[in-house]
Amino acid sequence: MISLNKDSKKDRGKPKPNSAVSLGGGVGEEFHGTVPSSRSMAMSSPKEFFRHYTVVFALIITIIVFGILRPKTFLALSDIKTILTGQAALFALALTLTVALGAGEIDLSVGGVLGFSSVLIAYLSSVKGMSVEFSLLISFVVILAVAAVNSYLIVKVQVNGLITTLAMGTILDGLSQAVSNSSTIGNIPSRILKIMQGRFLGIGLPFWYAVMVGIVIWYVLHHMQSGRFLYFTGEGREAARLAGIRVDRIRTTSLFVSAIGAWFAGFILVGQTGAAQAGTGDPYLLPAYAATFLGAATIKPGRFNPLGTFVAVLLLAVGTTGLQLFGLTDWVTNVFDGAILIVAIGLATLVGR
Amino acid sequence: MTKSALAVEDVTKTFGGTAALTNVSLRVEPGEVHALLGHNGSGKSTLIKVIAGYHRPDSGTIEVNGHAVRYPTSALSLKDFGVSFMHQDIGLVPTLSILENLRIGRLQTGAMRHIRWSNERKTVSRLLASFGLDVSPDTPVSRLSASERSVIGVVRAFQDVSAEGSSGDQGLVILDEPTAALPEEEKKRLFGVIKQVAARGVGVLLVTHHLEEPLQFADRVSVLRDGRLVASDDVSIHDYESLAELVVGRSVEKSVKVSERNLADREEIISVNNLSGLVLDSVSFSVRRGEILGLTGLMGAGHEELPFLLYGAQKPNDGSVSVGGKPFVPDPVRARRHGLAFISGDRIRAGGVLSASIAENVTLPVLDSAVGKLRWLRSRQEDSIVQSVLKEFRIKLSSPHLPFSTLSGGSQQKALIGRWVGCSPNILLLQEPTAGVDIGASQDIIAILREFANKGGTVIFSSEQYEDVASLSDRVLVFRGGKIAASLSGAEVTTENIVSSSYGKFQTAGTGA
Repeated sequence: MISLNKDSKKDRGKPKPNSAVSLGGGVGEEFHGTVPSSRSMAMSSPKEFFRHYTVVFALIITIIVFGILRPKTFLALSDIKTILTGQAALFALALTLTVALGAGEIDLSVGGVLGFSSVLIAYLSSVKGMSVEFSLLISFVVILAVAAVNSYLIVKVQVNGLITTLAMGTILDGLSQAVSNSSTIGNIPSRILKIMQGRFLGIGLPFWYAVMVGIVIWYVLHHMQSGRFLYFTGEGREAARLAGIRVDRIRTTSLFVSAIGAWFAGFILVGQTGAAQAGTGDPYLLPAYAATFLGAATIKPGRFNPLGTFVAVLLLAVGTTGLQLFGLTDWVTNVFDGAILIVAIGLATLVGR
Repeated sequence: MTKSALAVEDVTKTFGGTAALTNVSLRVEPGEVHALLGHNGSGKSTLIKVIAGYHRPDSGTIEVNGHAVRYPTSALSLKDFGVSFMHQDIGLVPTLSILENLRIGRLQTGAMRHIRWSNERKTVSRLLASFGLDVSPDTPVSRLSASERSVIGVVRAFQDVSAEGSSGDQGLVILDEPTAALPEEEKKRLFGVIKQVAARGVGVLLVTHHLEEPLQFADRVSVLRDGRLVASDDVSIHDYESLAELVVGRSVEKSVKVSERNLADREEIISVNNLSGLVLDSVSFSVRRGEILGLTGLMGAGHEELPFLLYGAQKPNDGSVSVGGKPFVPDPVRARRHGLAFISGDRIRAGGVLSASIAENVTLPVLDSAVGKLRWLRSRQEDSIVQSVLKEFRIKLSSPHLPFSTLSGGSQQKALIGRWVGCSPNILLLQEPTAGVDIGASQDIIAILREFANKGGTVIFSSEQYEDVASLSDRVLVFRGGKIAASLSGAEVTTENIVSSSYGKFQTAGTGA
């Protein structure tokens, strides 16, 4: 039976932004003569306000709940600093992934890229004894090559991106094992440790690097023409192409951004842990997706946005840390991240209605 | 006395404080084609949603084929009552064949539950043949043109209630804008079939924007305006003007041809030489500054593909184009630099981005002018662009920051045309600018395009709305089989001439029917 719900044909599986007026027939349309110039129009009602800040409220509630249950340990300031420092790699990964998802590209190779770049940096600088600069440069170039292959296949040859990047991630996992000989590489040069283990305001430098990356992404996505073009590419590729937007270039760039972000997250991990081994990237893949999708349900609902991603990573981190304080061990993280991803997608769909 | 196929009694429906329907009563009898006319926002779609059980009426009752509709209701129970809908987006699965699309859910099975494909194929072939459709049942729907899909959708709606409706062949078919994508020839064929099925005792409710359709094809016509039923009459007592008056609520004249314009002294802005690609075969022509060129023909004749190719949305196979005397290789990015703008006929996929805001959609092509220091987009600048476009093109809305999807079809189209006109291109390329929009929006669009041409812009548009082509164009190229079959200009540009040259040698037979 053919659905008479007009909204159904517009929904192509993507979260939709606020459709407060959904009567396409124009019953709700009212001409005001002049157009209200305030952007807050779309958030005028308390309901709308709540819709925009669902995840922020969830974060606050989580903090309050854990704060009441475990006041001494949880609310200790040092703990919050530890959380932010410890999640720096996830911040960097999720923020750059936001760019790829915003352009409509799903990059599942970021876990593999993260793992491979950390192993490669450790291997070149520690085992091969190369200079830090050279190790970073080589690993960077290798990752650029990976991004080039990804985007060539996805954008030019038009192969299914989901499968391509899934395969690419697995290839990189294998290569990580080969390079590391399936063992842990230690003895990382102290200069790398210094870059990543310094602190500012008590919080590890990697967090601040990630924040800077986030600010740049926020600027580009929300306040530059290229960002607007990127979102149009993600939300209506054919429409964007016919408006004269270079969609292929944007898609390619977005895949490079997610790969470079993953490379940087790998670099952060090597510096923070002082070691590298194959497979470190995989546990980051799902939380990164959970955070970006949860982020797409808040701040700017219906759109992958860096601020939303940032808040969502915080929620993930606070949630898992809190649960671990109850003595629940590692498995909690997986269950929590998985559940959050499902909730995020559900929320994005509901919020979009 | 048989039961009405559809009996709507005194239905009222309000949303928030707004009355969408007020005391509407409407009957569709078995065997009649009943047209429902109304402006966008007249309550037409609300009424259909109430009948479909999607909205519960505040008061009043609905009966279909004698069964009272209870709320909430399901699509399945409506099916049991012998009701079938065809919505604008048809709802066919593109990857499946015609056969599968038509028969899914009612495939006959034999021993071991295997599907009797040969029987099914025969049934479907017969069905298709009775509609004059010369396609194999195994053709994937994705290979069909937009209008062939509409035809298949209608065929499916009919078979749902008629073929195995078993219970005395009664039923109700509701067609929501079935002709939105159809040219005249297809319309006639389609309505021929609709009448044939109605004659077998099925009630047909035809929801449409087009005033000519009830006049040509319906038995009765009802008109909704501002949520009230303002007429429910035999078609015979109406003509175009009286229907238009009922729909709009004031008397309107049909869009009239503007006085002929002399453009001979204007320079040529674009010239096309032996352009080939898709179905087009060595097409050559040129257009002057300020000229409005209409491209038309029967469905699939190639006219609809010309704007697409000229813009470079797809690479032409052969031929050359020059714009303003300079050679131009069609490509969307280069096209913009050469002052070409393109408004696609595929509004769902290639029009506005529905999830992005109205403001973002409107400013997309003119964003350059809002770029400030450090490439920061100045939102005040953006707002003023949006404001001027919305005002100039009389687009109604409550906030430009709502999603584009909240605009009605006509307003979306005006916004899309408006945003391109706003960046003052030399040449505006359009596909079906007035298809599927209500009469008010369609007149606005015609006025916008005329104004654009009067200011020296060139308009090249393809359309199968022959009356709009006739009233808008300075010159018309009529296509047949991918070639230009006729060129009409000046006083020759009339609906009759366009129709007859579209049919070519069949013109005498075609116009009589």
